[in-house]
Amino acid sequence: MDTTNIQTPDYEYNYNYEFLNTERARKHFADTDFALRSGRHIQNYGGDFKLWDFVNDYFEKGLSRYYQELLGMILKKEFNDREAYFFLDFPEDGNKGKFGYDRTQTLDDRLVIFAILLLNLYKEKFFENKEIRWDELLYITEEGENKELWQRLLFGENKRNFTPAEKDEVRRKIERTLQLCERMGWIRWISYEEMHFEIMPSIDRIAKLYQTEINNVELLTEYLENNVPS
Amino acid sequence: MNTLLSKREQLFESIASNFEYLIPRDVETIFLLLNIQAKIEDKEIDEVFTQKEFEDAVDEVAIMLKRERGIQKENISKKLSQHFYSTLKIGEEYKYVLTIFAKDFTKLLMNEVAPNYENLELIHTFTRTLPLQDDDITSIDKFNYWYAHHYNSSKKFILAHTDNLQRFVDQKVADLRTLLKPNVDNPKEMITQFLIIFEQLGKQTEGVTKALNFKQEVIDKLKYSEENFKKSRENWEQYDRIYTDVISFFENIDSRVLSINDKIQQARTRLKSLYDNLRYKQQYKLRIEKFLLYLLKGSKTIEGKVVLPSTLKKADLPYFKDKFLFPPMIDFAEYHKIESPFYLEDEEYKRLSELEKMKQLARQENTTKWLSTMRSEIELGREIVFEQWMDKILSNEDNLEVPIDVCFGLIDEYKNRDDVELEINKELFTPLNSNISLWKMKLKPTEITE
Repeated sequence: MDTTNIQTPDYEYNYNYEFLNTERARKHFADTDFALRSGRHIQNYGGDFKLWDFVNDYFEKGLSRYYQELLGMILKKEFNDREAYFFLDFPEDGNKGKFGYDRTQTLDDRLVIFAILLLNLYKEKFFENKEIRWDELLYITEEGENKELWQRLLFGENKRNFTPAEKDEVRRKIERTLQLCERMGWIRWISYEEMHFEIMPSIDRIAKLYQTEINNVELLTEYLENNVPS
Repeated sequence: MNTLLSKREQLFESIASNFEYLIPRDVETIFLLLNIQAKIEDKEIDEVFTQKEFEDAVDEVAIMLKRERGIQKENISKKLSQHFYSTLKIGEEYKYVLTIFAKDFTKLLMNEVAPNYENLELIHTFTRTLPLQDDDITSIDKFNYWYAHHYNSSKKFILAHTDNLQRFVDQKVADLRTLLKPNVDNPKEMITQFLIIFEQLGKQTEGVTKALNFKQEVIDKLKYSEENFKKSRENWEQYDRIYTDVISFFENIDSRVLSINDKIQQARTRLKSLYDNLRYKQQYKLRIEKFLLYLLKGSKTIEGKVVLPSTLKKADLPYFKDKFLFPPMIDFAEYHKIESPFYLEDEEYKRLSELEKMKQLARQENTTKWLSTMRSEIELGREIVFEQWMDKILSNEDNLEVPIDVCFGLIDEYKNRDDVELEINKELFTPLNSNISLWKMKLKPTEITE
């Protein structure tokens, strides 16, 4: 292992987690750790590629053990369309590891809906690049086949015309939701001002979080239809 | 300049007044033109055709379009007679011939909807027209001739071909989405068909790429010939204009061809992988669509906030970020170092903590300063419009927490006062220097009448 230039005079070699003795750890461990702890999904793209390289190389050489033993968390490697992505996950339902309930965020409800929409678009664009422009989102919510449902959800009501102020407000809400997606690494901005972004392979994580529901969607739909207040 | 403009206007007006005859707007006329041109190309009729052949072509169009009452031959003939055919009297018989305009018009239409890639032998066109011969750069006149007659015709050809290719690829890629729909008949056969189409498109792109290999030769020759045109300023300017145009054209076309090629390659790779797990992918995509619909139908908006169906569990993610929920209370009087034989002080941590504490102190100090300024304003009987102050504070302080603390400080201080009216309007505004949104707030001094 390359351990050059990192020792201070009192440096003590770490035999438990040898990767920490490397020059690469000195350069990238802190950023990787901050990213993982803040819920980010690390992928081999853009600014994250160095972190991805680091995690990918040390994943089985102590890094995943480090998180398990010291934080009680699981460092996971998942694939979407053959692209690997990494993230920190809780060991099992109800157990939050050393993060506890204080260092946990519950996904915002609007975010869940938009993430599923983005996942759907990602799958739809199977043959293309996964870029989305604001116009495309606008088309879905204003002209698409489920426009009434979208409008009810975003504007709180259905009517023929909405005022520019109402539309601006909805745009701001969507922008904030997309910012959350970006923070988690589910999208990356191509142009923030123009709301032009690319959906990243890690959007697949939302499908992992709601795997049971997606697999049993027929049952859920049936339940919903039978319990709609008349 | 004015003469030029008025000439242009006259020309446009003339087009407008003849528009009906220049561009046929009914499908019958267009079909008739295409039918006659196709018959000439297939040698079913001669270039110069008879009245009967014309009428037969009209009848065929009527059958094609299922016009049971037929098509008015006189009307259609009158429409076309202005620009699309000429009448010749040969002996005692009147015959017709399509105008060049009619031929170009039908070719444009055909090429637009069904470009014929097979016959576009780009490489041969380029070997003949694009390369610069030594003689072309001996004088500016010859150079201009090459530019106008060789280069420009090649350029037009490459552009037309690239446009068509790009449109065709985009359309085919969009068509591919149908494969992911669950009710496609014989999807594997469709995938094979698509693979063949993309294979052919790939070859066409290779054709453009090969043709563009000539570009380096042209660019090199252009560079080396600059000495020939340096002597006269006028020649140099002409040379420079051509040089810049050629370089920028090649750069532009290079990137377009690359992007087309990428799209084709991506589609081909995806098609091959889809072949193996099509059924699973279709089902999975359908489930996600249904789940989205379920979320849209089952969610509600309560006081502007989206709420998911209650049957759905909440999903948690780890999220660790330092945050201060309250203004920190730091009591230095009680501070003393813990004496412990096992305690090892981390100097760096200590330095960072002190730095952080200093920052917090500065923040509290600045908050107090702003509060005091605003208090003085209120005492002078002036109204405080907080959104204006928010901008002011933000432009002075490099810390968003200061205006927020000031805001809470104001509310705390004036919420129960009789001499100041605190007015909060739940309309959101976003300050110029920040991307957070706040409610509007006003503080109005009131006159107390005893």
